[in-house]
Amino acid sequence: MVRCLREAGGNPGRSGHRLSIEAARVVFDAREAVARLIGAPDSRQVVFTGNATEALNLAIAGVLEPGAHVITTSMEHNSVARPLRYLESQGVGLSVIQTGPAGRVDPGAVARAMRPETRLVAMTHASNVIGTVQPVEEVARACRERGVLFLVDAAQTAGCYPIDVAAAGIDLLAFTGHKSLLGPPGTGGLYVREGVTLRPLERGGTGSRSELDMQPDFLPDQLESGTPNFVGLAGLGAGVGVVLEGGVEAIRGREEGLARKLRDGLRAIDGVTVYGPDDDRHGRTVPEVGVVSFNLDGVEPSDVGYILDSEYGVLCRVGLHCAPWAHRTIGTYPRGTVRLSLGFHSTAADVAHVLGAVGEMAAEARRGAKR
Amino acid sequence: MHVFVVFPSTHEAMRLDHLLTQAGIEHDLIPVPRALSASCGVAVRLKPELEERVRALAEGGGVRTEGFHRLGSEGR
Ligand SMILES: Cc1ncc(COP(=O)(O)O)c(C=O)c1O
Repeated sequence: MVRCLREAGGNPGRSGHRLSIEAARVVFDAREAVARLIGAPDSRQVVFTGNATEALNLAIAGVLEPGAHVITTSMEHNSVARPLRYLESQGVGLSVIQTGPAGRVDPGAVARAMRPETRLVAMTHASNVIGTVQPVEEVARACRERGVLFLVDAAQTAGCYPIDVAAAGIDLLAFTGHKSLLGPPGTGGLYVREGVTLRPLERGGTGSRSELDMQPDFLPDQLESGTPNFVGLAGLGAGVGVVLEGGVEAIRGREEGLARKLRDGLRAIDGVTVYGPDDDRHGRTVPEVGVVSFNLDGVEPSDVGYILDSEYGVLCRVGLHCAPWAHRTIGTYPRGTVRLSLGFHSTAADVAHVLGAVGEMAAEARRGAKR
Repeated sequence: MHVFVVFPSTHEAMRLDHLLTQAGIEHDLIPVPRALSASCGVAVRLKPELEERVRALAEGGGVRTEGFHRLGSEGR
């Protein structure tokens, strides 16, 4: 990114001088890398935004009009929930598919909720509260059969869980740069299947078709108005390069192993409740990403988080995690949970350290309860 | 004389640039000459004898162009 500012400090796509062309090349490389990672047949169909929230808003507002109907789930982040609730107030019909406490959506329930006027199913790929991965392939199939567009929120999965938009039949996929794509904050984007047309949220400033007063009708320009964050995109391109080199399957295998170790270890501690995907009787069948939520009896999540940070150097997020619907679904509203996230750089030693820390805190809490 | 390729968007120009670099085909990226009108401000400049190869590469790679034009080397 530093090299990018020094050597590519022009505005990509606004002029033909050397620095501008270098900047355009950086954006192109990032686009190609993301397209390869998610199986997009053509990188033109990947548009960059400031984050996943912007991408989700673009997709949702770009498709839905008053009178249309949209289906979502009770596991959504408020980056999906709020735009949908807003549109509901503007005359869009909204159905929310309720899941059980494991957070897994029943694709049959989604199909049954479809109506003649259903335009869109919007759903997270993996929960940011409990890590449950959703059966997006089955939902995609139901959408295709009914001619309904399918939007996937891949904020928690892009880079750490395999995604192939073409093979799965996903029409729209939102991603964020700052999580498993190993990029900087302030980067993200939306994949738009060829043939799907979205109404832009913003117009102007594309550098192309400067003589026309109308927004270009081709991607990526149609949905990318204004100077892009190409310094951030340099970081995103580099991050995705690291992911592609490591291989998503390998990254996923490692993170899943660590998540299970963490989940099992926490569950074995007296006084700890772990939420989310569970072993079922036939073995582990619910896939998950490295996000584990728990609570400690008799201690508020905020206190657990504070002690983990100040005494053990473990940084976690406590509370509702921008997803009150998901907390209602798993029965932790309004208290919330303590959420531990594993990533590319997490190790078995980190997991052991956290388990030791929570074990000590649980023992302390039990002593306190006896007094 | 040179051939100038112009594009609807910067993305397409970058894509052709990428394909040509991969194939080891000599070319320059330059501001679109005044004599040409194009949607995007960057053009690819080639030696005329490369035109057929580049057309084939562009087509094969799904690059959208707004045409190949022959002009003097300075774009006039
Ligand atoms: C499932 C989910 N959706 C959406 C978002 C929003 O992403 P961003 O912060 O990039 O807007 C997040 C993360 O914060 C998330 O976990």
